[in-house]
Amino acid sequence: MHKLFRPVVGIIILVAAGLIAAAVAFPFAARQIPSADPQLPSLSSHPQPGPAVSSSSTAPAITWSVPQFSATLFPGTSTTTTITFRSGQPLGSTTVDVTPSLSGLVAVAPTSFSKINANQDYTLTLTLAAPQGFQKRSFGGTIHIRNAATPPKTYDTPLPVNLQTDWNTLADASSGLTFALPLLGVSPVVQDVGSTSDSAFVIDVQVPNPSDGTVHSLLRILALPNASNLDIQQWFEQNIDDSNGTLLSSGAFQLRHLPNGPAMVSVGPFPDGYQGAPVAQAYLLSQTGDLVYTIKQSQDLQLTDFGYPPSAAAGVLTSILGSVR
Amino acid sequence: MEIRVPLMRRMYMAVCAYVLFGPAGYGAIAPPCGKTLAVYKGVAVKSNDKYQWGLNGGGSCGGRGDFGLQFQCVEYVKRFYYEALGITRALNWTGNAEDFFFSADKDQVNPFGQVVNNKGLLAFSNGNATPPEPDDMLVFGSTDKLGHIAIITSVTASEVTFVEQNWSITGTSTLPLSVSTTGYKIHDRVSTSHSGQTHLYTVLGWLRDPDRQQSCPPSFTDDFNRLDGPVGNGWTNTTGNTDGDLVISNGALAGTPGRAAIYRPVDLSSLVTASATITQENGFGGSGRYVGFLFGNNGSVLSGYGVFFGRDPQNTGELLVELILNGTQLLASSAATPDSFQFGPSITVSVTFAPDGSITGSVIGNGVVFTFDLGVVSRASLPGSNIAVYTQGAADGGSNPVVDNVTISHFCNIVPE
Repeated sequence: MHKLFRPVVGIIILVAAGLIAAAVAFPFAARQIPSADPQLPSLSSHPQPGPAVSSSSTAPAITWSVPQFSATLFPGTSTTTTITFRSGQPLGSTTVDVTPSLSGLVAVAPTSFSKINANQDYTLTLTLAAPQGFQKRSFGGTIHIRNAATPPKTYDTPLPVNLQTDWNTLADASSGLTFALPLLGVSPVVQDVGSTSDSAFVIDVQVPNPSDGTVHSLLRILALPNASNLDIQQWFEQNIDDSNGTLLSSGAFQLRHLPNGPAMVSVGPFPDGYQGAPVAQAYLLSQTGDLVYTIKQSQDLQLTDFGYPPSAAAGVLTSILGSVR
Repeated sequence: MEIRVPLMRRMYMAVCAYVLFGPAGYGAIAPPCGKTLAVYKGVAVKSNDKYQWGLNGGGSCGGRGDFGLQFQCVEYVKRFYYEALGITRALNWTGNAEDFFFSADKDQVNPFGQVVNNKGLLAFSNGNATPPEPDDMLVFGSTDKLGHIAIITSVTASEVTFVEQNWSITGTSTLPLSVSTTGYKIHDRVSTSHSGQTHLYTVLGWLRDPDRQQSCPPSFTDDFNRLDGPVGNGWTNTTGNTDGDLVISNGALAGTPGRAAIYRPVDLSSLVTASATITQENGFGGSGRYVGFLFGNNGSVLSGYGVFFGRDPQNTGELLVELILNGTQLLASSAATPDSFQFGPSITVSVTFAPDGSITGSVIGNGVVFTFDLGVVSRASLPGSNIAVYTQGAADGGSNPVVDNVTISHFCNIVPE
């Protein structure tokens, strides 16, 4: 090769290498674009235009899609949501931390980034879990971005997080039963139809449909007889499971101890060859032992109409049953 | 320690695992959300994924769609009535499955005080004299009063088959059907628990769009396939039989040499159709032989409006259809009988008696159909409220008429509850 061409070839190689590197990096960068996951109505993220917080003049400015994150959850349930952040400067390897005060309540993913490009959105998925106990509580803390190297340094500014547990307590005057219901943003009504075939009483929880205001059934709590005072697993086997015992043997229903007593709870997986009738989410032995409480969603209006993802319903229903007194 | 497996090896392992063990987890039996389980009249029955059967909170994997919660049982029947039958009001139907039955034709406050809107449908309680038909909604009641609902796809003498969402994993199911003199009863859906306890989804009945074109299946049938002897099965011999009562012989109704009839109560306030098969040695001939139906019969042999079938001349001639009132001939249709009508070994006759008194019918024999219209007769003089099957046998000593497969039908849309 002529000496004159050698620098030109070197430049071409460098440019080509740069293009290849960009092509490889682009798909990964594209994945950082935030998704549009639906959020529960009880989640509050206070959006505002422009950067939510500003950093000090020396540290990179981390800005969040929300100035603070708040969520109100029904006890014993969990949900996921997403937020985004961006940095005003490129950063090297970083980690995402949650303060210990939120340990076990808020989990974040991913927990680290190999590098952060300047002025690009990065998505974090938050998994929120509320403790089971029916005690109204508030949990505070922050999510912060820091460098992965030592000494650790938190970039301004952390995201304040507040998690609360809250609910409505409903009472059925006829049976004397009380139970908790998630805050739905509407006023629920309790109706007791009394005894039906094979049930001591059936309670209907009705709420206005958020789309048109008409009142619909949301869920029903049934009291089923247990005249022989069987334990809950025996009762379930004799009254609910099919002739092959599919639900128990497959593990689709398992014994759980709810705050108010033992229960058979639907936990999956889907049972092969099940031959029985439709089932409820859970079956709870009453404290007197002569009744079994169970709970079902309506076919007309469900928790999904109030922003809950379908996967959250099982936890909510089990928690409601766990609050029955 | 993290175990990393090369991509190709992971794919190979996955294929092997699938071949050996089949798909795992929820997907093993419940197809993914929205996957088609069955199709009826172009409308797909879809999987409710891991929520099938009410598991995992009894949710709806597809969220809310145009026809409600996807894919609950109610969502399918609304979508089917809209898409397959063109019933646009189905979009606005509210309530749980069980509510549909009680709000079929009126706004209804359900037992929980909730107003459920009018569906504009006809409701037939289980056991009704009007049989279930394809496209009817089949409604089940349950302890929780949520119930279940499906679409009937076929009806045989002994079974009803239907498509449904959120129960059977195939999207279809079948229940036994019993037919009696009082009506059609679909057996409840029974599951037996591990200890032998039964769990019921009770069949409340079936719902039907009143504007749908329908066949008129019989509300009563009798093939007389019983032991030789008295007729039974709700029939009574009339008084005044001249040569003994009608009896069952060789699985059919055997006539006598003279005049005889059997009768049973019938609702004449609506259009009613009676039909039967008539056979006789050497064709339908001989001296003075007739078979017919008497509408408004009072229990005596010739009372009521009789539509009789014979031939004129008696032994060799054309079909004769006569209208008789209390034994007196009012009309005869022989002049209208086509010369080409030739009796075969048997004829099938059908007579329709309308509330306005008009009588029409048909005779089918030897591959030829003859229809007749006897016009309107007065209803004021109906002597009774029965229908009778009448025979008049062989005065010349020959064979007597034999009657079989009597059916009685009412106009399908007249008897909703």
